[in-house]
Amino acid sequence: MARIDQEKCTGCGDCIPVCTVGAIQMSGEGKAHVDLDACVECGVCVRSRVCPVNAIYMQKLEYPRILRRVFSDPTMTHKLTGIPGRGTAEVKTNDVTLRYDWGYYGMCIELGRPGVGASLRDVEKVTRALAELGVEFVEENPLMGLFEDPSRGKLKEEVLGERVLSLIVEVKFPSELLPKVIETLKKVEKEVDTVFTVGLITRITPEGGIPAISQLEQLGVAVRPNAKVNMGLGRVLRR
Amino acid sequence: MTHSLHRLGPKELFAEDYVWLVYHVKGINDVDLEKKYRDILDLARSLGSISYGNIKVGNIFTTSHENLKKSVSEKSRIRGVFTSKQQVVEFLKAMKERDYGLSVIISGLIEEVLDAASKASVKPHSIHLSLGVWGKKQLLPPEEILAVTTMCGHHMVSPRLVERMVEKIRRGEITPEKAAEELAKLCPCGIFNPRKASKILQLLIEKKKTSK
Ligand code: SF4
Ligand code: SF4
Repeated sequence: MARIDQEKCTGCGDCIPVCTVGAIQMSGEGKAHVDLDACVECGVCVRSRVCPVNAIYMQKLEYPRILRRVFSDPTMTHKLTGIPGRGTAEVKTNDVTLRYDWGYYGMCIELGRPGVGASLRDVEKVTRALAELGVEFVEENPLMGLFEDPSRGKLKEEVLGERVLSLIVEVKFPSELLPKVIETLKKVEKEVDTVFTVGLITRITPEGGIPAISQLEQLGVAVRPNAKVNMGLGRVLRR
Repeated sequence: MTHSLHRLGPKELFAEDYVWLVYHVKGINDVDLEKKYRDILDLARSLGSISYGNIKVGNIFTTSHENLKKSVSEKSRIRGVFTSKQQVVEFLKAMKERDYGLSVIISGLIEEVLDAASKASVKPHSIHLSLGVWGKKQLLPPEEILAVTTMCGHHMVSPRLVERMVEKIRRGEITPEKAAEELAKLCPCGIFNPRKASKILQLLIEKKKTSK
């Protein structure tokens, strides 16, 4: 857990702007301290080596608080969630895995991003709403380790009090379900006390066309001009 | 992760911003990885990739090219950022010719990335579209600050630090280029684009001047 040695701290304040979520504050005695409710255990305050007197240190974390670190510190690989690493392969290896082929979409909803952080209670609002539509939660995702019942989108009770810098909910669904998924997200965005990014994974035609864009525009969803393109150079090398 | 997808900010800022990533899947195409990844790091350097790195080791501003190469393992993921479309074309041509069988991903303006693929005679397979930010957007900092912070997709660069850098530049304590490098150090993957960041920092300073 990120802590500040009160004996060593000189109160220079240099660590305050470095904290990713604004969890470091100055106390009345002129010393910096970490608001442990807000801290997501990302480790940036320590890794940045910002403190001139090395007053900031990390304490060992226990479950469930360690989930904060698992989902917020990208330098950490943790098997606690049952999934090695913390990311998802989403579009990156789709040329090899064909997880998202014609007729299906993938969607990544990243709660807390950009830079706001999210409580797992808010994550559950999204997973419950999506589960009702019958979408498939993608197995190879650290989120799976947090579910009590994925068919209902229910997370384990003991994790709900935790906060993370961001967490990706990755789902797969038949393309005709897109209007319902968008409608659900438009509803749930009003219920969460944070922000989230949304990304849609889809195939590109051999002519370079992206039919999903016009479908999204018809649904009143703006598509950003920048995206992530899988170049199709991957192939199976082992049988 | 979807960490290179949701870079925010106006379209014009993307002219010099193309993230590159190379991926393998365990048990499917993880053959001869260490050598391939080392050669790709050399390729990125020879093409002038402004930053690149390996999340477990750091980026080119926190460690050396040689150390990045030495630290590559079967589990590594390598990525970086180019500042021109021509670099992307050359990178794709080389990756196609070398035929490593690894997945290659480029993040940037859709039309420019698809054009680069066509110039390199590569046929893109799939795309991850960004549908932007939803929810309580009033919690977000101004767009120009987000244009900087979202370049580290893991959000290791805080909005308050960007503001602190703007102040330091204004007081003449640091140049925009050096400030951008300091911010780039916090992005261990190496996809934070310091050239773009230094331009945005200068824009922020101009904005402050005119608002006075
Ligand atoms: S670990 Fe991260 S969130 Fe916690 S105090 Fe340090 S920088 Fe802030
Ligand atoms: S940088 Fe170190 S000495 Fe300065 S306020 Fe923070 S903890 Fe205290």
